[in-house]
Parts: sequence; structure tokens; C-alpha cells
Amino acid sequence: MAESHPQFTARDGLMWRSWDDEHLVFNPASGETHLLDSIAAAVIREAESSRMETERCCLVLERQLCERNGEEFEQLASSLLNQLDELGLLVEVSQ
Amino acid sequence: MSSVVKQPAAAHSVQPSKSLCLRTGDLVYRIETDLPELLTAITTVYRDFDLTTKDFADFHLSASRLSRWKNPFSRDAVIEMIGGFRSPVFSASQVMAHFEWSLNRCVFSCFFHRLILHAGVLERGGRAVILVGESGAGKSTLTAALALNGWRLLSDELTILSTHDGSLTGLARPIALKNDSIDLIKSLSPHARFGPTSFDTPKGDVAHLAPPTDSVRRVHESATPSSFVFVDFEPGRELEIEPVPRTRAFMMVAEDAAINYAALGAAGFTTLANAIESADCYILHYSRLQDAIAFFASDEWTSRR
Repeated sequence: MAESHPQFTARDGLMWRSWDDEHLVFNPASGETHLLDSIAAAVIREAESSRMETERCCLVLERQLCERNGEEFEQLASSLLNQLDELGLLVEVSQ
Repeated sequence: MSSVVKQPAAAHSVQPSKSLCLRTGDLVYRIETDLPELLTAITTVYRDFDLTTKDFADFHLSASRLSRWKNPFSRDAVIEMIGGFRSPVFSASQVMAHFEWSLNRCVFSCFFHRLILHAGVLERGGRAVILVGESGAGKSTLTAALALNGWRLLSDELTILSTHDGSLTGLARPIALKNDSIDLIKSLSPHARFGPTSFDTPKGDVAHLAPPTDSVRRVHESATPSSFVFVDFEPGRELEIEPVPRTRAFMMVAEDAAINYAALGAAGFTTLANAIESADCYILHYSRLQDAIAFFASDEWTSRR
């Protein structure tokens, strides 16, 4: 049986401000403000429009890093999604 | 060893209470006190303010001695806001420092719906510069120096931004100088008007510089932020100014200077982001005050925006 990857959406109501390829996001649910690089910001932005999981996150990384999807991408994507989940910027959804 | 307890030589009975009203910007304080030290200090550093207003007072403050006997060396004075806070007990000779801190608390409580930064703010030619810095970074010293050199003082310690339109509210209250900066500013401007020095307060020795008359007269003129300058006083360092990315500037202000950022939630984020977006952000390293004064008067600075 194939392992199923968790899926995420962006937290509702995130507020953004972007300058010089760095991004601030304010999470009204926690009251916290986070400084993000362009990769993390792109992942959350995409998760605002549709569900995000590891495979799709790898495509975002590929686009942001301008590199072909390598072996380490899946691990990197999984780690990034978990971090953003822990920060409360992504919310895991049931499949 | 003698067991006789001597009455302090300066001891005499407490003064009758006196009352005055002080208007600073939009706020009116009614102050009752039996401390002549406070009345003298207020009439010195607040000389250009309206001290005769009959308007409704926003705050009622009482500054008084707790004991019947006046001893300049004992901690026996206290300031209370009627219906609000009570200061720690302090020596009457420190009353001006505690009075100003009490006014700060009143400002917090009145403007809690605006974004309040622990920062100095001055304006010249319609450009407001917000000076941010941790304690000891030279923020108040530079604020005082610029106020004495043609800049309009909006505030020394509290920069107040409207969450509605981002405009700055002026207070033009006295500038609190600490320790070595007191003599530095006195030597820079020998005719500057100072209140009494409060020695050995929790923040060291504190003295208040009266704001320029023009700043007091123009206190109701609003301004919008043009620059955020992170002040870094470093002995021996040549003056240097470096740009700071806006995201970094935002985080530095939000984490270190914005007093009620977290409490304001989304409004705090939007207000600070708008202010940073409309401004340039720099770190200013300096060691000589004259260099900093000259820099802010130079074409290099005025041509930046």
C-alpha cells in the first residue's frame, strides 16, 4: 500500500507584505509575524489556492531554485511543510 | 556608640497641596502636589505649554509625600493616577523622572488604539525621521541634539502612529537624558533649559531638556514617517549610514520597539508595514554627536528622499 503524504492548506486570513524578495506574513490566529524567504512564501501562497502536499511542494522548489527535482527535494519539501505547519501558517487537512 | 536618632536638618512640615493643569498636545493633566520640587520642575521644562487650561482633564495625578516630614534623602514620595496606577515609592528629589514616567503611562492608556513605538521622532521640511535604538544606543541624545539644531520635536520616547492613516501624533514633551548625555547636551547647548537632575533612579541619573518653543507651538501639526533610522552609538566609530532591508527593519521595530504591536494584532501589522513601506530605513553608526548633527543637515541626507 502506497504511503499517503499529508495535505495542507494555508491558514485563513494571512496578511502579507513583500519587499526585495523577502516576505512578511502576519498570522491573525496566533498574532505572530514571520519573516519568510521566497521559497517558503511561494509554498504558502500556492497553498492558499489549493491543497499542498509533498509532490506539489517539490514542483515549487524546482521552480524557485531553478533546479531539476533531485533526490533531496522530497525530503526538503516534507521538512518545509512540517515547519510551516508547526508555525501555524499551514493547516493539515484530512484527505 | 550613640543611640540618639537625629532628626534630619532639612526636615520641616509638608507643604500644602497645590494644583495645576498641564496640556501636552491633545491631553490635559490635572496635577495636585505638595512637592515644591515638582512645581518648580514643571514650570521650568513645561514653561512654553499651556499651564492654565480650564478644559476637562483627561488624567488626574497626585504627587505627594507619604510622611509628615520632609527628608530629601528618604524614599517617601509617590505619584498616583486617580482611578489608575501608583508609582513605586521614590525620593522627592527624583520626582521629575517619576512624573515623566507617569505621563508616559497616561499616554499608553490613552493611545492604546494607536501603534506606539519606543522611539524618538523629529520632523524637518515635512520629513519625519523616526530614531529607533535600544537603551544606551544614543537615541535620546541624538533626538535632543537635532531638536536643538532646527528639527521639530514630535516626541523623544514615544512615537505614536495612527492605525487609521499612519500619521504621527506629536507630544513635544521634555527630552529625558541620562547619565553622560546630560552634560554632553549641556556643553553642546549651554543655554538649553533643563529641569532638575533626578539622581540614582532605576535608569541612572535623569534630567529633562525643555523642548524647543517652536516644537511646542506646532505640536498639533501632524507628519508622516519618511525614514526609520536605527541608532548605534559606538565609541571611536566613524559616522556611517547603511541601508537596511525593509523586512529586517520591520522585524527590528516590531520585536524591539513597538510597545503595543502584539496587542493591536492585524491593525499593528498593517500600520507598521505601511509606515515602513513609505519610508527609507538605515542604520546610523556614530560616535561624535557633532558628526551626526552635521550629517542630518547635509545634502547627503536631504537628497535621500
